[in-house]
Amino acid sequence: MDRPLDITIIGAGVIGCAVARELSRYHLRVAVAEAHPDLFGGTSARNSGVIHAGFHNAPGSLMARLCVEGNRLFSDLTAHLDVPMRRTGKLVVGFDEEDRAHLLSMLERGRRNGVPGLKLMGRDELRKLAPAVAGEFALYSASTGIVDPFQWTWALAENAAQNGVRFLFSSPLTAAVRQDGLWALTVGSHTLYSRWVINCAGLFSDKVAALLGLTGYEIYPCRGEYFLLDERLSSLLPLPAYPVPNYRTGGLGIHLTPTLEGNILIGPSTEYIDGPTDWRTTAPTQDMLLREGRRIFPSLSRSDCIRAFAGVRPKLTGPDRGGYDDFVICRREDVSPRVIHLIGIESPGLTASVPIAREVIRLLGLTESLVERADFDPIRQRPMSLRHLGPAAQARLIADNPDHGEIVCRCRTITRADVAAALSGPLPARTLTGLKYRCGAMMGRCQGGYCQTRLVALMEELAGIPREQLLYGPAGSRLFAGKVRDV
Amino acid sequence: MNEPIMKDVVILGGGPAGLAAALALHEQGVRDLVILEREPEAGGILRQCIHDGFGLTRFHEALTGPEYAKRFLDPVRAEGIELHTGTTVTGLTDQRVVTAVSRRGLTQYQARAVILAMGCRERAAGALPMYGARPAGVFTAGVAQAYVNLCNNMVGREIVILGSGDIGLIMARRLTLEGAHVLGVYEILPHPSGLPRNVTQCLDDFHIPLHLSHTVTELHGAARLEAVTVCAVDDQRCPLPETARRIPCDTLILSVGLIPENELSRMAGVQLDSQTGGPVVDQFLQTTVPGIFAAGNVLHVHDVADDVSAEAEFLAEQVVRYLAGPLPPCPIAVTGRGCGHVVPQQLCRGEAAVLSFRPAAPRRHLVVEAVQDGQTLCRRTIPYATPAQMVHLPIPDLADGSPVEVCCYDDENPAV
Amino acid sequence: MMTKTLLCSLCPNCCALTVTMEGDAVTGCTGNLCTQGADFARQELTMPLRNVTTSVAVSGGLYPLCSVRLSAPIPLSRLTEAVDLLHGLTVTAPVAMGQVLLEDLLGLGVQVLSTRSVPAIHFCKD
Repeated sequence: MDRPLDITIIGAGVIGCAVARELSRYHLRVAVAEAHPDLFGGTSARNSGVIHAGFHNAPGSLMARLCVEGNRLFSDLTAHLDVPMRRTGKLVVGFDEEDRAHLLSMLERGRRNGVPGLKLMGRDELRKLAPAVAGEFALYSASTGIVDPFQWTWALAENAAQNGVRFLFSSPLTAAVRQDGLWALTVGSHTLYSRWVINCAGLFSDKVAALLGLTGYEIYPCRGEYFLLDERLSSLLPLPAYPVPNYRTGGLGIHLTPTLEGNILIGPSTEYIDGPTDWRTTAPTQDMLLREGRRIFPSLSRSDCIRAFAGVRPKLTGPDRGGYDDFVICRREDVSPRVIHLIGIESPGLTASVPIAREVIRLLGLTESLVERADFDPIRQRPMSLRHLGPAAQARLIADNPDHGEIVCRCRTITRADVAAALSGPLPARTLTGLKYRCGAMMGRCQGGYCQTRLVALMEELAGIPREQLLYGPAGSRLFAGKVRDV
Repeated sequence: MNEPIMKDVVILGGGPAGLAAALALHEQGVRDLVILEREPEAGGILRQCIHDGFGLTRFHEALTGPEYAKRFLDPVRAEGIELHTGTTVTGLTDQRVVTAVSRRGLTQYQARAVILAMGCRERAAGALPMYGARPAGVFTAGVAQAYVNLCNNMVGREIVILGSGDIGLIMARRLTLEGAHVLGVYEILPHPSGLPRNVTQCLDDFHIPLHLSHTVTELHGAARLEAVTVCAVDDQRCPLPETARRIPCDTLILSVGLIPENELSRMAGVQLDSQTGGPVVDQFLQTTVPGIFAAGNVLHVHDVADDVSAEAEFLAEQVVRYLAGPLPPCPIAVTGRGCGHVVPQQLCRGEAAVLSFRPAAPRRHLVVEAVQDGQTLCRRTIPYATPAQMVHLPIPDLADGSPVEVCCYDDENPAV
Repeated sequence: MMTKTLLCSLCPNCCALTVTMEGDAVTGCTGNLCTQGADFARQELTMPLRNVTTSVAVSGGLYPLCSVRLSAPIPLSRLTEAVDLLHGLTVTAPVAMGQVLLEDLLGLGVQVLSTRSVPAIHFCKD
């Protein structure tokens, strides 16, 4: 790069991508450096996909304010960015008088935070809304919704890229020195010179902070395991349902969350771990999830599960304290000049992602003059997909482009055109899971049994990625050990 | 959009069941039929099964999968039977409207009869109590087979195989021939799931150890698989943690079960049998939705392609009858004892039938008997019975309307 | 005298054969329900035979691999040699199913047959 960058964002998770998108409104040269080979390398790809209402968070906290704001904006934002979402509402279910007291205090807290549409629901109303969910009464939150976290992250990133932000992958920050009033950043094999740095490094935000001169913060990784149920059960859970949460562990409780595709997520659990990227599932926790899931959902069985996975929360509170601390979004010009740090962005980070980004811009604007670009385009659109259409429209779509008639993933009705779209545009897929999360192939019942070989062939044909180098996901995750015959 | 195309018979799937049914229908004068196949070439799973053993009973030859398929594909082409490849059926209704999508467009058919011949899929890793991260290097056996035999991609070098079903055994040999080191095959049951012939020719020949009553409980490695933990299991198939051993490897092949592919059947409201995973059928292989029939792996998972062809040909005869007039009602229920599922699940009066089932465990001199109202309809003694070999028991036409039970027993487990 | 047991794999009866051997020669066989079983035991214990199914490389073909088998089984003792030879072969497309790719494998009198048809691909010069 010839001229220095104005801003380098460390991390292309949902926060980094939201910051990138909001920064792309201004006349700034912005780049994002991501450690992983593609998007979806961290917490943003391993969560429940809930658009929270904001009644869980302490009144007066950044978490509460930015969550409520994010929830309010989500319909418009997802419409602009062409991301499917649904305001399903949510139930926090109780069984006894102690639970009822908790629910009432949650209701009160929600009202103080300005959360709309909260009410206490009795047994009859609960039964009518969600007949399969066990419980005596519930707190109903009308504004809670669900979104696909992959589509949301990708949409923010694409819109940022479309508006001029550069993304560098396989580029972890390993060193940062002040040089002539700039930050000289070693990111992977590149050296970037940048006036500002935004630390959106999630699970590594404490380490990146230290590299940038800010010490004293520690991320306590806290793993949450999930399992995903077959979409055949989708009619049993029309909206997220949680048992009354436990504040001491700081988790939201073991809950059931539907996805837009009709799968049901059980989880997350809560367990402090040593390594920030220890995404292993464990036998005792999976067993516990099944047991706890049955509290709400008595008919649940292990054979209903199609996949198990884990995410890790970047918490600022350790196991002896429990609970959670507020988001840290700060500038420390004394030790870390021209850096904005975002540390400990756990739930409700996804919901609050754009308000968090706007808070970053507010802090930036304290000392920088920010000039809006006239040509900023807030609209990002995805091409049409066969599976969203009825038969007549499908016929027209295929006539227009036969690639829409070639079905690659049978379980989710993903076509060659959908795959081609995920392999093109400003942020095409670079890995097999990167492709999976963009187009939805391999996420259905057969988990890639039918489509995997086709996707690999299409990555080679359409994206020029030779199979021998193709990664499943993270660095070092090659799919193949070479060819069978050298032809 | 155009009006649906009227067809006498629409066949969903151009694998061994679909092709055999189409040929048999054609031979019996049914010409207004179409086969819809999603792959670019017909033949189904046979295309990737380059091992031999196909056609032993039917052609008295040991053919490979593609050769066996060609025995049906050639006449299908020669007879000009309508076959659309690259065509995926996306919808099926209980009125037998079939919606299919291909590069050429969207087509709807109004069928008088539909034959479900979609085969089966593999049970995936997610369904197993196997913990750890999700590294690269975990493949179901069929996917590994497609990569190695069709795509020219080698899946790994140090291989552990979970499951001793025929596909797992075949892949143990295949991968060994391609220079990989197969460290062992682990089987949760106390006996091999596949045929003895395959245990000999795929494992013993290559000195690949078979560990019965074992399973894989954990995967190690974050990016690419580095090792698996294997455990012995008790007689409830629960892992015994004190027996855990870590096996370094870079690939895990899963051969842990086949599931009939019945998404389209569900769409049409076809009732499924929770034991087979396939449709509940009567002795005419008609499902609970009139005019929708099923044969092959979509109905119940078979061991031998020859059996699939025979079943599909039998089904074709019933469809010919159905096109001429409704088939007799089948109110007589069939159950099994000492065996897994029994197909068909419903019988009629006055027509002979064949009951298919799998013995529950390997046994010598197993007596298999069909009984109705205390009367024995048919009894056979099977010199060597194994769950890996489906048994076909013929029964005479029934006068009585009481339920029929299939019992399997031997000296250790006498009939009650 | 030595006794060995094995399962016959000729038919689903899967007879459990008990075979007596004197050195390398089979002297007796019991447990077989038919005579082919005794022949099988003899063959399997003196010189087991196996067919070989694998893939060979194809040049100029629509597919990179062509699956093959042998026209008759060969001794198990020659299997590794046979596989090494086959894996060193490259055949040129087009290949027809059933085509003889190698007339006499290792001088054992068996042919290597294609079990797939592989069309040739043609590159057009613009």
